[in-house]
Amino acid sequence: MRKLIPVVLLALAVAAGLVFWTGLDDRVARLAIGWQRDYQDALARALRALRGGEAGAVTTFLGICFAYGFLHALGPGHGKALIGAYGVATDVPMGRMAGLAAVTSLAQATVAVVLVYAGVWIFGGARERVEDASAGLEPFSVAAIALLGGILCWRGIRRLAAGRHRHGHGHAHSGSCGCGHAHVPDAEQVLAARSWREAAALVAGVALRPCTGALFLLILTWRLDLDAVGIAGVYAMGVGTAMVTGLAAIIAVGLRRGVHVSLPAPGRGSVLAGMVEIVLGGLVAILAFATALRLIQAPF
Amino acid sequence: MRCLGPVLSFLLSVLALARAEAHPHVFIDTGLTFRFDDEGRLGAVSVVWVFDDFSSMLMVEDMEMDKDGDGVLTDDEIARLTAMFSDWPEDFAGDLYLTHDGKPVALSGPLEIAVRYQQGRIAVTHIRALLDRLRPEDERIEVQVYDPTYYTFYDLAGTPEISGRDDCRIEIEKADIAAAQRKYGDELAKLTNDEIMEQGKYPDVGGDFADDMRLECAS
Repeated sequence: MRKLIPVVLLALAVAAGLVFWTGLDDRVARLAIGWQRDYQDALARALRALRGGEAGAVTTFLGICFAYGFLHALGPGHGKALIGAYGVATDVPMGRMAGLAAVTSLAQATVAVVLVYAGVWIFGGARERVEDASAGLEPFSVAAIALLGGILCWRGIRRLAAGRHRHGHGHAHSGSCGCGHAHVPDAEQVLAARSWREAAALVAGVALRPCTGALFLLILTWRLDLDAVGIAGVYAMGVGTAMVTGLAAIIAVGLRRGVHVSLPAPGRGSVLAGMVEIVLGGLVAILAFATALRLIQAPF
Repeated sequence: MRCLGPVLSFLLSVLALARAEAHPHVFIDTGLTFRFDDEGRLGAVSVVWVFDDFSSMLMVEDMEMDKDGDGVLTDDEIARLTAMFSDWPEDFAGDLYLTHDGKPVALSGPLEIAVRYQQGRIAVTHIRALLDRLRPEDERIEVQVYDPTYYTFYDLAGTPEISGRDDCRIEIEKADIAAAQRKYGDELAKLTNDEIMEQGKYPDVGGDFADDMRLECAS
């Protein structure tokens, strides 16, 4: 059974790699564009029904929003990438990771609502201005992602250093050095504070980049005097998105556990975990910093 | 170490997901008619754009029209829309691209613009005249309809029509959307924010997203 796990993981990784390295197939890409369009059409019909006060229009509308959130999240996106990377690199229980994924999706919906109603208040609901404001948030999202990558990387380095410390030079530091073991009683406290910071960075990294579709929907429902239904619709989208990001979280945690179980000898776990953290955190940070540099290069 | 391989390839594929995502927000069904003159030369192209439901609704609501929601616009509202679609920004080339033997064909601005609003969709018709008329027998004439910024996705609605000649037909070569999206993402990553926001630059992947039409005429 244990021998099977690496084989399954390898097959999964190869499949995922093939899909995402070679890019989606042209037929899939066309299908996705068709979906986007079908959704927009269905949404327009639902809004018309809502405006006309048709029976059952609210349920239909919320259903369409949920489906959109779900389908849209199936495509490539920064949220799943980040949650997947964090889930693989960090020792977070599956339930908590899935909960965190749900929080990021709902926070993203909240950011869209706040952004549009701030836009209504400040710019009178001009659509271009709201889009610009949304683009203005992106550097903050990227900064949060870079921070998370940096934290992961740093933790990996510390873990490797700690492992070497214990196995290599343990005897040399027995009495003279006061460092190391004194920290143990605080470990849980440190862990809690650390994971709170990481969770905040994760949520900010995902949420500060709201989806254009949600922004447009909110502007429309505001124009049509359907504010409450529109806000409910955007949260329905968020719940749909949470289904997919939650799945990404579960797969990521499952993958990490699978690798852990299939390790040949005890003790290598922390070395591997450290290396995964460094590599993943480093990649996340490099990608984020590269994007951040592009975003903040302003004319002076 | 043998476990590191799958983990690394998984995380790389996860990160590959984060690449710039390109998808359009406005969908336009496009109808084209190629108009030949008495001498068999291509003189103009008629264009019909029918906007998708949602984008039409956004435009109508943005301009605070159809306040009673009956789906009918007043003459005044149609006139405002017509004025909007007649006033092309300087950097807007009409999203219609003709080439002869690979060289761009110069087109007039929009002529005879008309706007309708039917079943909740805005339809805009206009004509683009060729500044120099062309004979498809002499040169290879190719046509594409696309938005270089990929904000709008143009779908060909039916086969383009031909008027003024009956010995011509149109060969359509479908675009590889997935390849075009990848190229768009790669090109987008090379631009700085300054270039995008201040200079209005965008990844120019040309007509990679668009189907390729070729006019074939018997000579």
